[in-house]
Amino acid sequence: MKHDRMWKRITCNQPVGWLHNIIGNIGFFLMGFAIFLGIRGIFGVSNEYSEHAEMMIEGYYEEQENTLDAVFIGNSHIYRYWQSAFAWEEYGIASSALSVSAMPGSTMKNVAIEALKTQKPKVLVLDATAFARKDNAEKKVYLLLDNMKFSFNYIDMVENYCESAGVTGMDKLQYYIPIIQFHSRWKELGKADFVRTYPSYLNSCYMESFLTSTIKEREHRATEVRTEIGTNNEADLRDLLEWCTEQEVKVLFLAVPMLRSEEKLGMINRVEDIVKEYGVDFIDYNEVELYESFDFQVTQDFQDTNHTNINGSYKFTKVFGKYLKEQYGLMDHRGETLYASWDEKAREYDELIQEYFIYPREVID
Amino acid sequence: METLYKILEEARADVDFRNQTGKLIDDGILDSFDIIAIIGEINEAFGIDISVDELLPENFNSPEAMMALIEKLQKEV
Amino acid sequence: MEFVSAIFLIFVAIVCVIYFAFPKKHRWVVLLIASYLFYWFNSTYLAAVLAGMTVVTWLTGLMIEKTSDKASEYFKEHQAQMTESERKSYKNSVTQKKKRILLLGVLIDLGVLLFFKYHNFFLGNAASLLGLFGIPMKDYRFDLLLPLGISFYTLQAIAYMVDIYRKKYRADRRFFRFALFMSYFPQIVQGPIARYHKLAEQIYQEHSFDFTRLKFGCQLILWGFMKKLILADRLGILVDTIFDNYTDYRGGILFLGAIGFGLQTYADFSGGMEIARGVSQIFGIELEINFKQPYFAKSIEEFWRRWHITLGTWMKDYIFYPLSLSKRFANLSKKARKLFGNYIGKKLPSFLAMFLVYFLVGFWHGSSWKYVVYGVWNGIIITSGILLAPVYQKGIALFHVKEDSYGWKFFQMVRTFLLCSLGRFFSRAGSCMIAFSMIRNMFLYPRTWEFFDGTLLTLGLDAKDLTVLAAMIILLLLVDIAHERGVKIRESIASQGFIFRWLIYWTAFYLVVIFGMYGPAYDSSSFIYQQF
Repeated sequence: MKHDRMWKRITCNQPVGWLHNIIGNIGFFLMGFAIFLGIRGIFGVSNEYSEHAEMMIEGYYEEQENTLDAVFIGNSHIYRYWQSAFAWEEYGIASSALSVSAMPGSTMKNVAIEALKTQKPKVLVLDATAFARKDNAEKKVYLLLDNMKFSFNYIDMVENYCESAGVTGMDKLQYYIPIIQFHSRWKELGKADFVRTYPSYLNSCYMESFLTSTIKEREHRATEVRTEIGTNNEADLRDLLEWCTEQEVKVLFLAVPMLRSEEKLGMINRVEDIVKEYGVDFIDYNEVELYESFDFQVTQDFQDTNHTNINGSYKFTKVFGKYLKEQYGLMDHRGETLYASWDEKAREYDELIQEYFIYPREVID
Repeated sequence: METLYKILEEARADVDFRNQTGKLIDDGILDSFDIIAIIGEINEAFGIDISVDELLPENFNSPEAMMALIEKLQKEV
Repeated sequence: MEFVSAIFLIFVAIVCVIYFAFPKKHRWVVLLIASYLFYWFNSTYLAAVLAGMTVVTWLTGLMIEKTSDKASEYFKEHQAQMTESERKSYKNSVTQKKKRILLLGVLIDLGVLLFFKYHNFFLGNAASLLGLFGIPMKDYRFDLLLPLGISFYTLQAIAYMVDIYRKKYRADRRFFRFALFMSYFPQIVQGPIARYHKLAEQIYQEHSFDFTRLKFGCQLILWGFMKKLILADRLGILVDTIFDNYTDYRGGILFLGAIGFGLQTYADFSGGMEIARGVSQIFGIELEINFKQPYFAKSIEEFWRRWHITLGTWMKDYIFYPLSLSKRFANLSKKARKLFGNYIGKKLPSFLAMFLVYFLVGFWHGSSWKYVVYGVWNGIIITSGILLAPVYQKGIALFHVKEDSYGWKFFQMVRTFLLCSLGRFFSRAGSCMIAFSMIRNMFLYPRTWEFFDGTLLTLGLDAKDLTVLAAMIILLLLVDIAHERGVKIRESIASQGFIFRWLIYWTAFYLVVIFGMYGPAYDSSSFIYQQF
């Protein structure tokens, strides 16, 4: 009897007390919010174009807390150069990257804040090339927005991005609620949008173009030229640098080796000047000596003029890993129980790439 | 009253208004076109303005009702 | 600020909170300020036009009433001493005086409307008319911003003044309250065209907060959004494709365009009404219903009693009846009866008035001849329907049609729907000539196969969009059937168990979020790897 009455109360719209009303309303909105979260996970940049953004960000969140010694933040110049799997195998460096294609410089500070929420790295490597660019691939910010957890930092990131990109008023809404952009994707939704499809190979790149592409011979044009980077880029960079100087963690700005024009490399030089004004570390691998230390075979090692392929990235990781280890005292974590899964993942990555990879190297057992 | 009967009979010669027991509107004896024609005549003959708001069946169901309406409107400005 | 936009919803939410935070007595002030803010967001300085017309209308109302009160008093006192003819002439003089004031007020309000909405139409036509006689005229046409909702509030103002003239109710002495009646924001964009005696009391009344009303209001808004964003805007793509490239299409596809436009307008307009009514409901104000399942009408006349009802009743009360009851029309009727006999003669004045009404309805829709043709087309069908009624009756008797059978009713609905759709060519096509050529091409080249050979998929909507469209049309049809049968949908949902109820609400909400046509069109290709 009692049970019957209870059930009736729950299922029928009978007049109930104010407490029930409040609980009911909260329940109602919780239900809506739950659906929202579900939909947000489904609608986003199609995996076809996201260049592992999901793996990079979700994978980062999944790393065990305070286990990483080096954290990288930036655009494709991070994940197509630095392979965590190689660094692990060569030096036992525990590193991970929070990098997505064309990450806007204006968001880097907030991504860094996000990164430090779960990890206490010895060094934070920031991508200098993010500020040495003029084109604005506006929509790519969604690669971040789709996958980052919602928090005040997220809101701040959207604000910073909008300010830098000149988005104002109600137009901002589509960045807070990406579904405004992506709902029309309902037509092209596929299995990949519902199920997690990526394996986590220590945030290491395995896109087809990265594995198979090569370019023709081309010279590296080191330069001392300074090219202006634009007021927006500069403002974003200075904002980031100010934040950096307040942090305990050591920060290193990295400019990866590229085969680009003097103008582009000149922008990197300009970034370097600004970074050094703040006394923050900077390493430019486009300087002649540093570039030569890689011993690149351009026709084998580059995917295009500003990205190494799988082979070049191995050379880069080997050189840069050594530099990090020596400069920032990174430990060799191989063999520690806390890192047992790293060997496994690195081996899986090796298996995945072996048919494309040409350099012989010792594989640790 | 005689003026009114004359107007009514002119509009619908086939209806005997003087000995009518049915309701002119509700029973469908007069249609809307008749009413419009009749009102025009009444307005002119009695120097009044029957407006839309008075276009209610109860005001036109019998010659007596019409006369009552006319007298009411005559007293107003 | 678009009606169907996030910013409008935010605006409404803020107004709501402030409205209910205010003491009950002053809540109407919140609405007045909100209404002018809303107007300012949309038309900035043109709010002055609204304010100006409000002043004119308000003063006209007061002046008519003063004249009429004075006269009544005088008449009451002196009636006894007056002779019949004195009475008549006194009444006449008072009426004339009142009429002059009314006319002035109406002419000012109407003049503003004509100036803003129709100046180019008149200038353009004057030029072509003079051109006919070989007189060149410079192109004086100029572009003006049209004050938001002016077509609607002008009619409201006129109705108010005429009603005071007719002594239907007392003039409003409190200016700011009257200003709220004229500017009330949920209805100013697209109606419903309110009548003072039905709306004014409600907006000044002290409304307390009511949770059920809030819920029901939100549901109505949601349904309005569904109709606009999922149905109307999606259908609009298909309709635009057909009408913008009308030379590419023939037969069935053109007809599809006309039907589509009818449905689009219905979903769009009635959806807008639901948003307006929903918002008002939250404040505790009931707006008039403007649409009553128009596509279930069995004749064009009935259609206009179900479609944009407040415009129809306005036309009836302030154009049709005053005209057909006027002395001039009475005389005309007399003459016509002598000339054409009772059957046609009796009806002729009404027909004339009716034609004028549909002419105005057409012209009111837009300042172009095609709208006039659209209106007159409706007028022709209605009058021919009445005139040919005896013929139909004979036909019905001849073929032993059961008039209360479902089949016959269905036939009538389809017939009305088709006739209505034909008229849509005029209201949507670029011009009258285009509409005529589209109708010709439709009948001359049926090309029925184009419904089956994939042509449908080339009209801007792919198969998935068409499926959503079809599903939404079916849903709309079901809802309309339920309404037609007197089912109160929101009440019946509210009586369900909470899980079911919540599911319905959230499903509706997320249907809009996902299938609605809004936001910047997402283009996957913009994500294709860029060289950086």
